[in-house]
Amino acid sequence: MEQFNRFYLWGVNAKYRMGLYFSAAVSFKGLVNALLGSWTVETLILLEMLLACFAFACLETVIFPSGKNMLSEGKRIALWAALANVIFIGCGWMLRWFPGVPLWGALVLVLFLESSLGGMWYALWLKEKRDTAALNRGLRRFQSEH
Amino acid sequence: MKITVEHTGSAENEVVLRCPSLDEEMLGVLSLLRSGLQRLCVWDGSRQTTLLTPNEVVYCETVEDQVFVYTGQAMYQTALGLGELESRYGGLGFFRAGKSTVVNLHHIRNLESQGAGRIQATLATGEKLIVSRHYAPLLRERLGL
Repeated sequence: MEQFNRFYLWGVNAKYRMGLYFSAAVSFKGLVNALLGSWTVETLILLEMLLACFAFACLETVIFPSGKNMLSEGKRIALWAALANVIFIGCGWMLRWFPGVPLWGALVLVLFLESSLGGMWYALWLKEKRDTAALNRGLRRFQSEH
Repeated sequence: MKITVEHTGSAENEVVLRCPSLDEEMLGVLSLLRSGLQRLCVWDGSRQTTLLTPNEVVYCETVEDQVFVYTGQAMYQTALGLGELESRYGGLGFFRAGKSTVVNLHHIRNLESQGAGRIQATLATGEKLIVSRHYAPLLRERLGL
């Protein structure tokens, strides 16, 4: 039962992450299609994106198991970023997720992916920095009052 | 250990410990008696007992069922458990930072959020302790956050 519960919790965590990446991928695909004059997204591409996001989310839970500090281990971060590039750029290119996009457009897509990945880490870093500042303010207050 | 309570006509309560040497058991009894004075009775490697004020204690740690007390300069042992230390001196800044650690908040130089719910405390001595995920919310509460 314990094994099942652990697997179930892992699944819930992976699904949450998959949903996050999938919603970003679909929004982005929809935006690119709209810019190219199409107001539809192919079902097959949606399915491929869903599977790619699921694969990445599963690998992410392996790279950053529950309880690991996501900012403190450079090798894990590098591996995570490399996998994100391999999976999303690889799938986008091989499965033709963005047909009709010129080369400069493809470069913009890659730049957008990199800045999104960087943005995720910046948000985490900012959160920790602010939390640290609040903790030290609380500590100084406690030390002066007691 | 044999315990005898004698009723005498003396004005002041008196406790006399008789033993061939100060073994762990007697050190524990002595520690409990003296700790009643709000001071912490500890002993060092040569079994020399000392009374520490709680403010002198930087942190306490359990290693193999023994509780060690660290000040800035020395390491001692005490008969009190971590739970007792926390409940007795909690009001003076003692805080349970993990299953095996109690830290004196007055001797923390700074705190650092470590992600995944943990907090790293750098002590005045330069040592670093991790406040576990379980105890971190209690620390935030204690600091009024």
